[in-house]
Amino acid sequence: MALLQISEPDASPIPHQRKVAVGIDLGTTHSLVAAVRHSVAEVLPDAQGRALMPSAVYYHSADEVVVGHDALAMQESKPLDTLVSIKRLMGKSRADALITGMPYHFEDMGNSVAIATENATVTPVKVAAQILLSLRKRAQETLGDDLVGAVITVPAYFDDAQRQATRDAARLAGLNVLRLLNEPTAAAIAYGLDNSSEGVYAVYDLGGGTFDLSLLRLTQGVFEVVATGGDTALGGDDFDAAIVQTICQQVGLDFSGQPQQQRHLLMAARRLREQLSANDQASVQTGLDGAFASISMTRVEFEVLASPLIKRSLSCAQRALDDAELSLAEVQGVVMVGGATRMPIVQQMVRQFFGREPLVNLNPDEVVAIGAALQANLLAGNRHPGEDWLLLDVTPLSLGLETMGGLVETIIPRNSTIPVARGQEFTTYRDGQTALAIHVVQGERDLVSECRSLARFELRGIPPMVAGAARIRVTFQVDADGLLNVSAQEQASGTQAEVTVKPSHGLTDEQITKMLQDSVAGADEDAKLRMLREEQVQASQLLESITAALAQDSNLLNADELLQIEAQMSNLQAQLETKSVEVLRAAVKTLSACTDDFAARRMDRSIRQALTGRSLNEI
Amino acid sequence: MAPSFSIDASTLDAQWKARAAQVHPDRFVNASPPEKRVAMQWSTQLNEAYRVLRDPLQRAKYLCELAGQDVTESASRTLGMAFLSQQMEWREALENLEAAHDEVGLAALLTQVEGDRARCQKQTSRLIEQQHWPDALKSLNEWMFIEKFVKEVQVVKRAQAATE
Repeated sequence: MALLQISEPDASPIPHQRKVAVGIDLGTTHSLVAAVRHSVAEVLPDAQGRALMPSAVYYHSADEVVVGHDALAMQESKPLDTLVSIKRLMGKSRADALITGMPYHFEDMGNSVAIATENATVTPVKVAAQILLSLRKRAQETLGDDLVGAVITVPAYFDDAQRQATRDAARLAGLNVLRLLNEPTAAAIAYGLDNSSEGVYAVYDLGGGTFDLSLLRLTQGVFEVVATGGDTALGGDDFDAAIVQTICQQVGLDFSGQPQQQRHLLMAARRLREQLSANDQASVQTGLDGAFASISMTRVEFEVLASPLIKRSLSCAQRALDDAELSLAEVQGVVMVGGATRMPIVQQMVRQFFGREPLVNLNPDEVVAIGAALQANLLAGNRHPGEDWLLLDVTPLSLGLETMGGLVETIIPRNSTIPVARGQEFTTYRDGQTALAIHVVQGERDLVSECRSLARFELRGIPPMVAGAARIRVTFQVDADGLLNVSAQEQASGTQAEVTVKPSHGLTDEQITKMLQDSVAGADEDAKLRMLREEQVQASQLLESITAALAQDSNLLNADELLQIEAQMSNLQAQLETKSVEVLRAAVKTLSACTDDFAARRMDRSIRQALTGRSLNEI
Repeated sequence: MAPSFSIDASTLDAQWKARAAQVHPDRFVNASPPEKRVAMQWSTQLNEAYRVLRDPLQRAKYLCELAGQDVTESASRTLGMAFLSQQMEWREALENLEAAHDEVGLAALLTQVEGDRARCQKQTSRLIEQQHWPDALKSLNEWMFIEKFVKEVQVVKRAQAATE
């Protein structure tokens, strides 16, 4: 955090110091980490040279885990304790989790679902954090220690709860999240920069568990997402499940109560599906006995199963086109992303729908991570002259409030360019009403019961008035990560309430803080010493930058404000040599807090100047 | 860009993108929280300005508001009987076409109302430029009604195309 350093937005404050930032694709089936090295974005392999890490985690105990290939190897013998496809559970409640049909034993933990395995009971956020931690270590081993941050990708169609959960997982893994980036947008960066394309492009992203379709307009270094559609419960996994279901029906057997057999069959189905991409007919061993020792299928049979799923994806595509008011003829290219797009039937149906040959020249497993790495490098401030681009992304789902009769009042419609803020006035419906319950929902349906419930909070302390007299303004703000913040204010009295939408399903801030504190408490002496040194560096940088800022812009402060800042600066100066991280951190925090307004004013002035005196109110 | 109804869409687009490139939060990832907040606010305001200006109806409404005209209150007062009865006819026609699954008829209705919308837009724009406020507001109100109806026809048309 470089406080108060206002430099040209496009220049890194310390030009000679290269900052390493990575892109992470946290996938349903596997995850990757990539970085820009020697001006080229590339996936970082593990010590065995493997780029893809299976998104699998096995707990030997609450603290001892194996991640990736080693965890996956446990899957057949311990199907209920080896956690795979955990992305499908991010930001979900227990009730949501049960609907997925996943074989795990689910429990409630606060507002989140937890999975009970034989050795540990864990939330999806914690499991995802283990995957991220493993990738972070891989990156640090390859790139050296000084990782400034990461861009983490999420499906474009992820809702607020799923995004929050992803960010919480990254925080738990000790990663500084530079940005949550939508997967199809990341792929578009990788493709767009590769081909310096212009025009409207569709990104068809069919992963292991999620489907996204984004439409982007590319013009001179600007990637503008015009509409996005998708289904967070449609992916390669569903094709495997369809194969298993059909085969079981043919034989007349039901394995639904037998997770171990089911897991064997699903894994065999995936291998079968992969073989059918190259062959007209395939047969694989399942590792089971009897009638299911091996399963086989022809490509034609498979395609009959697959086409309803692909049709579902194409109807999402049609809706995105309708939203963008674009015709198929206006789409200049279709980019294929995600391992599941290797299936010939997918490519064939996408070709038929768009009436053109889809682009498959980049590796569909790696393209998202590559795009994320490029974006991370840009955000960290490492770009070379002439290498610049801007992303303008959108909200995938409408955001609204519950009104009388369980109906939804949309506040921010889907496909609004972010950041976006929108407000709406509400009033009281009873005489003397002093509180208003606010229920925030996300989705496209008219009924609250059919939308995703994001948060509930109350605005209290409204002065008693006759019904209909109070003016309560509810404001929704979505930031550049696609995360929502809601505030409410009674206009006459100024009574205010605010929530960062910490979703109905997810960890509270206190829970996250506690988990982080626990991990610090467990750190060894070396780590503590390093933390102290890092804090000292930060404190010195803060002092330097405030000194420079004061020299330039002290006319933005009144005498009192200036005195207060100077007092806190000498306080921090005095604490620089302390041995206590906590004391130093507190002094830094106090100084930062009392310069917040100053920083905001300087920023505001600098932006006004950058916009060359043109006020937004004028245009 | 000067306040005017007739603006060039590609100029507006380019202006928006050029300014977004300066204030977008991606430019301030390494800044302090208050600086990030300021960047987000500017960026939000810029996106809102673009949203309003690029849509002809929103732009017309905004220009009326800029001129101190009350767009919301006047809504029901200024619509003439002739206009209202035509609206009712259209709605009846839409219901009949929907029930009959008459795609050709729907397409024809859409062409007709889109033509009316274009005429109404042109008229509103002229009245705004001439600052004939009462007439401009009346025309704007009609436009809002037609716009709403165009959307309804499109929804029915899409729903019918999807069931094919």
